[in-house]
Amino acid sequence: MKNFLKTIRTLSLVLVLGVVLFAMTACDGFGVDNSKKIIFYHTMGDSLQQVLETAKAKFEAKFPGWVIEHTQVGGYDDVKSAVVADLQGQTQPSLAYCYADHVAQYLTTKKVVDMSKYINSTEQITYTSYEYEMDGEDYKLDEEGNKIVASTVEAQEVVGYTAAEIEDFVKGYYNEGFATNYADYEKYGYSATSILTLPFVKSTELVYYNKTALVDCGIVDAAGKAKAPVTWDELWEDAAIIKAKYPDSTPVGYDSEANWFITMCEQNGWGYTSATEPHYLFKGEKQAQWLDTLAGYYDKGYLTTQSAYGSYTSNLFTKGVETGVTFSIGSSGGANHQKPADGTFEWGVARLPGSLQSDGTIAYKAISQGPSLCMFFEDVENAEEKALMTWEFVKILLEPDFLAAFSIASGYNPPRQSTFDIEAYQDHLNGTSITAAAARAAATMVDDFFTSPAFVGSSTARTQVGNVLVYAMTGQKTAEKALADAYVNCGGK
Amino acid sequence: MEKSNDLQVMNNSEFNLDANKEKKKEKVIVTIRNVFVYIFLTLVAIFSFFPFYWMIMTSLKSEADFRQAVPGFFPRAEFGGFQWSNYANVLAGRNSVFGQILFNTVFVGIFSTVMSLIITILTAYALARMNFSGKNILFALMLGTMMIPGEMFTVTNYITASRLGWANTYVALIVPFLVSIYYIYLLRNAFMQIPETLYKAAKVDGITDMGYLVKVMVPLTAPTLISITLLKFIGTWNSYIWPRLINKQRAWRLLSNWVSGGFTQAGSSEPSNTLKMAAACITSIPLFLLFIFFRKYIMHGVSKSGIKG
Amino acid sequence: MEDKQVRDESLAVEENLDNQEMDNQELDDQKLDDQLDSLIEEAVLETESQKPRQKMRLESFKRGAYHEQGWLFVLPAVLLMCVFTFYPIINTFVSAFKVGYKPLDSAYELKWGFENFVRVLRGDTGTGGANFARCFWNTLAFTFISVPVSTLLALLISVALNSIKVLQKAYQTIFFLPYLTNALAMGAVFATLFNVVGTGNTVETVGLINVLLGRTADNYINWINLGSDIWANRFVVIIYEIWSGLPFKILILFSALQNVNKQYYDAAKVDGASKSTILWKITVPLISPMLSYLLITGIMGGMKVYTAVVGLFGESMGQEYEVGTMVGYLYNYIEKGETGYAAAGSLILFGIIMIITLINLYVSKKRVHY
Repeated sequence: MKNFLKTIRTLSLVLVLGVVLFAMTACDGFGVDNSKKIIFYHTMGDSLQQVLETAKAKFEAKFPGWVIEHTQVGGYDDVKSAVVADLQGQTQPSLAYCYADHVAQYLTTKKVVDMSKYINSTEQITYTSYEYEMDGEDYKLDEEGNKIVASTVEAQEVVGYTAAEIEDFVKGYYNEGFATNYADYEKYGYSATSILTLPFVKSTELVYYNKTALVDCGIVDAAGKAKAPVTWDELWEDAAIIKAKYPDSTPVGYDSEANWFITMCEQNGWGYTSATEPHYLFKGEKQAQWLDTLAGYYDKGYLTTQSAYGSYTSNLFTKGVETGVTFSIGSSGGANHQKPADGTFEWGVARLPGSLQSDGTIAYKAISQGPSLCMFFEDVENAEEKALMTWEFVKILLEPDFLAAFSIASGYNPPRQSTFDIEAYQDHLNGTSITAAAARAAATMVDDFFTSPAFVGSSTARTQVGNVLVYAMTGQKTAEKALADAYVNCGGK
Repeated sequence: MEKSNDLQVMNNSEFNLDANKEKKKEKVIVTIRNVFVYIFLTLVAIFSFFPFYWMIMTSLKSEADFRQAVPGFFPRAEFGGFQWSNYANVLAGRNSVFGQILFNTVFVGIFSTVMSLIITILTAYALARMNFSGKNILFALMLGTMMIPGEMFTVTNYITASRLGWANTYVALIVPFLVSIYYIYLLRNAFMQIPETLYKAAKVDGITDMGYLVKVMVPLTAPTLISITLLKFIGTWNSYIWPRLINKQRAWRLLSNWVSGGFTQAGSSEPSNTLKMAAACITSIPLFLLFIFFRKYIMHGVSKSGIKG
Repeated sequence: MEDKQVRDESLAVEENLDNQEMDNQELDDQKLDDQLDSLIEEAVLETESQKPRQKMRLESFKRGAYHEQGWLFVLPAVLLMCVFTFYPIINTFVSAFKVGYKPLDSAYELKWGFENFVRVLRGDTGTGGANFARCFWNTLAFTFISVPVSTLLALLISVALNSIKVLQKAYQTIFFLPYLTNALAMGAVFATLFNVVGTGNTVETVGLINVLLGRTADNYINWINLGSDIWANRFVVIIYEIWSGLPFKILILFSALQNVNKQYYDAAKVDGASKSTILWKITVPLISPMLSYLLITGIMGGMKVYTAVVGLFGESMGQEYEVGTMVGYLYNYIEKGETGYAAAGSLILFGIIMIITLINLYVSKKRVHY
């Protein structure tokens, strides 16, 4: 007990010291002027934050006096919770990572900035230009190591994007930002031409396939090389051949059930959800028929999904054909996990199969995922000025050079096509790694990306159709019943 | 305990010819009972230890090993074996802030524990021993607040704290959590175990309430108080959601935010689970040491004398 | 000001106790009562010797009616609670009666009424997701199995721990470890224990528990995977809850056992009482305030279970909230921005917990010996 009380005494001392320290640090924190501070919420891990720092440095050099304060809040949902809390306390950030269903909530506050105003602006803005740019430093070192301060000049540039620059954005990604993609946008003061978000970095779904196994099974092109399926029908034909040769294998593995359902609806025009009432369009005959076909294939042992398997399907892919999957369909962002151990088998990456239409064309459509950027009007006096400067920062984030660096570091796909002309990115694409192969495959799909409309309950719909696929595929419910249940669970009447 | 037990047996058995036999029989029973006690405790110990073991082993696995469908009980050679470098990576990756965040956590931990303890003792004492008008209503209200999920408080408190200008300060991490009804209630019950006659005796002797509280009640409930200290400190140490919300600047965050801050393996941008686990292990070490330090006070409180009347 | 006072006094006590400890070593177990007396005696002596100083300091306490001093003691807590507890609760109450209230919606039209409650109870909120009735039954099942089981288990463990000498410290440390284990590790462990992995063709693993039960790929129990039974799911959650609740309960009960006078045991042994009689007739009543505390707060906490289920079954709490809990239900609506429904749900939860607690307190009053 003596010791304990001694400890308490020591602790008290520490506390007094602490109070002093605290008082000192607290003084630091008060009276800070936030009027020129742009706050950016994101989810970037360590390695990506290093890349982000270059954009921050560039911006701060271009607009002296303005500061970027960026914060990794947590995951995507954590960013959303933080923004929701901030909007209620009127302390929202200037800029945040976002997903469409988050923005569906944000826009009801009318605080989301309509970026079309800046995109289409022809006004000039003055910025500080340097004689030379050195990663945002305003000096360079001469041979003897002396600092030579760059001379600065005031320069001017147009605030908005040119038509060519807008064209440069991958269409599917860019369209996601239109207000028409959101329920009730007119009620909150936006128009059909309003743009609420701009795409940042994206991912899509790809087929990772086992080349060695395909050659073994004779699934080859004219040159005798492994041939990846172009349509779903081809995929199932291949699956039958593989299953016949390797009875213990499961030819197809799909990671995300929800994505599969949504993609099939989009490719075939069956309907999934709409921004306007009645929102839920997935309860259709065509969908049910497709689910029944899947159930048939499941019974034959042709396919599995993440929920049915109980673990990542990439684990099945890396196992090899005998007991694993030959076609593993998963995110381009997770390419690293699809890589088998060296020397086990040859792999390839292909675009997602398309649906053969009655007119003989193939409808490719692939889901696009990954964060966009959303700006907020802040509850401060210079809100307009801050929004303009935030826009200037967004522009730096969306410069092809920066996007190239960021895409290479993250393994995600850049939203602007001119990124592909950047030398560093080309080198990356020409690499031999599975990430490079995934990036190459994704680059061929730029015309086919889509996103689903966002409204309150759109994330519920997503979860529900994923369940529908699982229930119908495994035969726990008939397709009709599963769809009807999901419809009710979404709140449809 | 067993020794005194045997003594008791000796003292109480009649000293007839069977005394030795009785003693032997008793010994056998004691031994059997002990065997069962140890088997029981060992089973529970395995149950308790397994997840902790898993945490340590996961922190030493490679990411590929972690993602396997069939998990391994230890890092497997075919996936790279033991990855001691995980720990180095974690500490190196955020070296610049680790020291600051560690200081934040220790500072906030000590400060809120001590202040919260003082408030808990005062409140619990008043509720247990003093009579004042409205006491029962107050106690009922306090218990009532435990029945509403804390999730409903978060946004309102966040708004309050930011309006007070507490964002990115220590105050925000300390003040809103100083009152813990769980501990007040616990200590009140512990205080109520101390017989009232003692209080009356003290009153007759002219000791004030404060004097009685500090000189009699606190020492007598030391094991409970130390448990509360420990739990409160661990609670602050592990708090996660609130600091993430109110202190968004990295320099003002706590270790638990650091743990889930997105460690990435070289050449990858995906958060690494194994690195995260290594960080979690690092932050558990001080708590483990703290427990070892406090354990003896919990086990041998100030007095072994129960004084229940 | 008050902080300083307490600190001063604690320093004084320290000296006081230093003497005490020296005495202590000479004292026999039988003389423990004397120890207590001397404790008070010294306190009195000290009070007298410091009378002038203390008198001044405590003058303020005496000014009001004697009993009302209590308010001074609870004042810091009450002030803090007004800001950080009562105010948010009032906010919750108010939003529960704003029909369809969404704090973010700038076009929201204020309308008062009970509609939120009606819709929550009827499961007709129009946005889908968790179902209140199902969440309610799950929560009851979790609470009323895991809380009594873990409290009883903690009692047995504490008593067993108290009765041994060899390895006592080691065991006590191990029992505390779950408190120091990261939640992510927890989820991973339970996946290892219960997760079945396999395609339609081959089962790769049936999970450790199935293996221990001697089950194979042909007759394994589906605990948490697709198509598993709700009671299998509940069982896993209950195991998790017991596991995570044990360290706290053991700590509290073990501390409480330290306060029990050995003389009672000795007296009982003299009377020839068996071990189990001692446990149930002497130990349990003596620590009954702590047991009642653990049961009441355990049930309150149990009714608020959430993280365990998310850790095991993900944010959607199963395929579609079939393992959902009441707090999970609230979260579901908070996430959607439908604060009105969340507030109504939390008031219903409040009502349920209150009824259970009142019953609990009533029973406690009869059974607990203060």
